[in-house]
Amino acid sequence: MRGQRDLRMVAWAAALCAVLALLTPWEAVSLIFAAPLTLVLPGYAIVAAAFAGRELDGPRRAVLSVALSLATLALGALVLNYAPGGIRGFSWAVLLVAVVLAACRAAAVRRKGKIAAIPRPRLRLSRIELGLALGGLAAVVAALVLASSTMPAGKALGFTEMWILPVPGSGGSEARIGVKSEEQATTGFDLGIRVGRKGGIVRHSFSLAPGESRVFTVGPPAALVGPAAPVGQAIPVVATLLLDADPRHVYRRVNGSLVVPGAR
Amino acid sequence: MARPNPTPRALAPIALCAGLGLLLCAYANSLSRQLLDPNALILWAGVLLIALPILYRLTSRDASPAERLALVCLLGLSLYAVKLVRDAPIFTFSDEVVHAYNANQIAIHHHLFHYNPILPVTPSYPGLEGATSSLMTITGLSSYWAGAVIVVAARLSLVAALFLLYSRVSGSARTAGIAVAIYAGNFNFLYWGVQFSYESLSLPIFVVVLMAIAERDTVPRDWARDWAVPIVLGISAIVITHHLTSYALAAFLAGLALAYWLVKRDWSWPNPWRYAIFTAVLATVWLLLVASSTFGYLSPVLSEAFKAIFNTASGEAPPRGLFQGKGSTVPTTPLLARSVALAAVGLLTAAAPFGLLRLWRHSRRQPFVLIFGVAAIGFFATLVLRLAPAAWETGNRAGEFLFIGLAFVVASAGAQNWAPLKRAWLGRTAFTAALGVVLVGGAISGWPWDLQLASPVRASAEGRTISSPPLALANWARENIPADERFGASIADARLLMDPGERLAFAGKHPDIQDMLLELTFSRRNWEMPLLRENGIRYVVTDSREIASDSTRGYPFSVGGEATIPRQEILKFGELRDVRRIYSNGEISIYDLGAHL
Repeated sequence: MRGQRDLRMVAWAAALCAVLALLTPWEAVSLIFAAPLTLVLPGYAIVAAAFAGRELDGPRRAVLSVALSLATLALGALVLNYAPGGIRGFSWAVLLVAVVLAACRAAAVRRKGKIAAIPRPRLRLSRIELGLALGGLAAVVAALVLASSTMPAGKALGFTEMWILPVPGSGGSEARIGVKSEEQATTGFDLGIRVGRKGGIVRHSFSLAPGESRVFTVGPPAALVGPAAPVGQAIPVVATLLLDADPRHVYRRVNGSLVVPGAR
Repeated sequence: MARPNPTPRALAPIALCAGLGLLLCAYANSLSRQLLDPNALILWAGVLLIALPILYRLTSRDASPAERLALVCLLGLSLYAVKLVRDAPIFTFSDEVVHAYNANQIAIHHHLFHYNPILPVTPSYPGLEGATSSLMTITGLSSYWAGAVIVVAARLSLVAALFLLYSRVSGSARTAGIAVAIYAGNFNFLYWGVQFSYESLSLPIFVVVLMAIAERDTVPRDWARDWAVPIVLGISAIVITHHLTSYALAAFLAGLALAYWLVKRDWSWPNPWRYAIFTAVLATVWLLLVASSTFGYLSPVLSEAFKAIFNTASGEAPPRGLFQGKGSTVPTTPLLARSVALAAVGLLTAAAPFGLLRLWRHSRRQPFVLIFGVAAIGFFATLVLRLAPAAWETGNRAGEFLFIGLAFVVASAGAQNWAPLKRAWLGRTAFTAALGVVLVGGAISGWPWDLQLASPVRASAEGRTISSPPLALANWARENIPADERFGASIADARLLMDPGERLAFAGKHPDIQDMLLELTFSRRNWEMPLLRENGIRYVVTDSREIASDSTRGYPFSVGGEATIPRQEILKFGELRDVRRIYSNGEISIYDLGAHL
């Protein structure tokens, strides 16, 4: 690629972007390197190879660079699907760098000599224009921040989630009962858990702020653990949640079961 | 001597207006997410603040081609940002969650073609999700942000390629800029066309292919081979990205080949018939070898559309009312909004004959002009489809492609040259206002009025974040239920279970989860349990909200007073032996039917 400055720059940029995008642990910073690698450089290199030595003006070159990069990504996924390792960050980086290098090489071979430098658009702004443009950019940033921010919605009906699931690894002999508040304000709860049809009710009183959760673990009652235990028998568990503010009505109810464990 | 400043003076203030307009749109949406019932005029004021300065400048005679290209790019990106500030950072359009699930599956399993129970045809067209997976896997970005970056690049390609295509065909950058501005008034430009869905990528590449074919026509034959690479790459990418776009491209190129023959009476170069055949063959091969489920997906849609057209035309079925949504709970579109939408269609209808006449007189020897003219006429035919209930969607989707021709025809009518009382600025102002009506009217026609502004799926309370019932369900499932377990749910819940829940969820009629959920009792024939068993569905999600059956409206918080389904439809699951209600958030419950599988 001697004498082909643009192709050398593109090839080096692709390699550099690939390494930096993969190594950078922060997503947003990684995107700064991944965006040219995925959305510009493959298309630019393919255009250079396809139109080697021909005049192609800046706008057409730019549009084709982005569009052919997108086409490369769409088709590249199909290639990687059948490649060893499949579709991963590393394999994507290798594929895209390979496409860029191969296309740059093809362009360098096809070009008959040094090509005229591609004129770069010059952007010259007065101070006032710069201020206006920066003001526009600031408004865009403010709009995106506003859009991504979570707002209070007082009229939205809050609620509370409640669930019961076996504790992983317990073989079903223990259960987790969870309560998560999605209410609009801190709320007091009264949780009653009954294990077995005739078992007593264990009560827990607690408060949760919006977005907070509590998890309780229950096992089989002591009476059912021991040498005479009916091993493997399912014992029903019912959890009932009441609101402190309205204790006469059942707010949530879930049910599950426990399996009586064998002697250890 | 001072160097000339090549930077157009108007661009900076126009960019400021675009930024402020976007901020106004974000403000309107933030008020809506706070359930403060903002006036929708705030949103439209924002859209017009973005668009009108750009449109006015595009009508001027002294802007350079480069400035016009910059202006159409600014218009395209700013209007995409209007969609972005509506729902960031969560997908809330019904098709988006389906494609996001596919993209997540690719990133998780490192391979394409993972099953999608909501839209089984989508994994067979993995172009968009494959492209998105590159950014997801290299950077670690979520499917939302990676998808947004891909759609931004696609939108940029679309408007820039349209400008170059129109410039080449018309020979005028001014006409080209105005034609792109008119194209922004197509019904799907503001929202539907930029959702994270396969057509958002395939349509821009479609336009790039058309641009490349138009460019190829202008160079010597031995140079024209250079254009084969972008054309073939573009066609291949379209074929693996979206079924309808690949068929539309084959039809468009066949029509173009015919137009070349009509003009030149010759099938040899530069007639693009080879590309038409290449597209048709590639699309057929893909359809038969990879995406055979497309038959089952498209044939009911098209046959229902034809049936609806016949029934409506013969008077057997009443015509569909314009601006009507499904169901009684969908609010009606206000009179003013309807008027603007109808005015937009009226303006296009009034201008199109002048454009057609002018093109016939001056440019009928150009194949692209002929095909644009046919497309423009075809667009008005699709408007008639809106009167037939089941054909509405078909007409809406076809309109997006046909609008490419219509925009060119209307821009060629020459209304931008109108100078009443010999004052050009007056004509330009009136023309800019008309373009504004076309833009806003198109957006109103293409997206339900009650969904133009966002509804809250998350809210802050006491400094923390709370989620709407279906979103809370999805988050809970992701954290607590193994990834290989399957759910049966109503349409909205199933979609959120897929993304962000990342769980396999079935909904709708295939398999018939919908009837199982909405019947008051289990049937005597007892088809429900075998159905669940056959599909490996262990968890059944019941939702008391009637709106949970609506794939576009079923996601936000309830505000009280919503319609609910009969209680017995839910309680029937609790009456089954050995069935546990393992989750409840009031409106939504999950029943574990593991004992019956």
